[in-house]
Amino acid sequence: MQTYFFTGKGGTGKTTISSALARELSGVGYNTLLVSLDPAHNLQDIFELEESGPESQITENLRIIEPDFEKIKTEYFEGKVKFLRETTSHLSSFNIENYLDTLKYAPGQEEYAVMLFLRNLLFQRNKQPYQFIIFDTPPTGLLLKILSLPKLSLQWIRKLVELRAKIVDRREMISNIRNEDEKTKYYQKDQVLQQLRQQENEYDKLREFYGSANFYIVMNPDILVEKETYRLKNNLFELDFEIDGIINNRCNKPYTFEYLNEKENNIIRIGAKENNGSRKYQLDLNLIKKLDISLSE
Amino acid sequence: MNNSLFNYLKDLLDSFDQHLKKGATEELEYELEEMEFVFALLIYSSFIGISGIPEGVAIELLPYMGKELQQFEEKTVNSDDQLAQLFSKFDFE
Repeated sequence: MQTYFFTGKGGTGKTTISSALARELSGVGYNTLLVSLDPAHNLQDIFELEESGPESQITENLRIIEPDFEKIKTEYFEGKVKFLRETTSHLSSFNIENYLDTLKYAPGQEEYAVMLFLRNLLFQRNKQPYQFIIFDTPPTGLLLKILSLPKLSLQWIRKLVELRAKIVDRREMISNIRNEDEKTKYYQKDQVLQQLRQQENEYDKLREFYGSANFYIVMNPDILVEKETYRLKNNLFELDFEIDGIINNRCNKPYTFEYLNEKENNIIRIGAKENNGSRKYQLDLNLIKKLDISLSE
Repeated sequence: MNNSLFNYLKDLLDSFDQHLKKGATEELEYELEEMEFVFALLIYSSFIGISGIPEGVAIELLPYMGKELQQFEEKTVNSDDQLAQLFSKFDFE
């Protein structure tokens, strides 16, 4: 399975490029999934679909998903509240249910909803039938938050695992000194430690998935867009992501880059005429060749 | 007679043993309690207005943190009398 992420400043053509590539790959027989991670989706507009559910089968080989992140968030929190009500009713004095209700609207929940969706997509669909998954991403700010979440969470989780292991050690030590009749296997029994390790495993897999993906930034021949592309490239680098290339979309004339080095950054040009159809999903941008996509699978 | 004396002595020694073990673990228990409090504080600091840990990590742990949350509440209630708590831990009269 190959994964492609298309990112960049708002309005540069990420959705157009990702849709065109998905259509091209599915057209030559590859099972392709196109996913919009932007809460303001417009894949349905590109494929000229009537308002339908979050998933649509476009052709035999092409499926699109525009997740309803609000619904994902609500269902997740409702599930947690239900579980809490069943297991920790004695904690009602904390008013935890109301706290969770307000959390739905707290900052940081958008990227978490995206993470929940990806977790479900990657780990719970046992047999992944797709040869290509293409992600149309939200504009740079939210994308960076989405991509940094596994790294940030892992840093916290690893510190918490260390502290929790010390706690479990102390519990075992006290139990041994007291020579308690029932030997408790604290390490096996501690659900917090188990839960932390499970989360560590999931975030590790998510990082691995991001690490194996191909990242392309879509830009336009414009100095402001070029500046943001340059910053995005550096920000991604800080998060350990390497850019596979930059697509200079809607660029007819040779463009002089001020911040980016054309060769170093593998800049791929797509002319405005090529990308000027009234029916966007029918655009033929020859992206398989331009992005040098290996079709050996 | 011998048997009841034997049982009496056994009980006596057992209670000595228990007392010594309790004494030996008291400080460890205090340390454990503090570590559990720090752990809860790190995870649920946003409850008291300090944000830090990604919310998702905290929410996933919430169902398993009942004991720590209770300690957290007790600590908060008694937080204005920390010196007395410390003295009582070390048996100062």
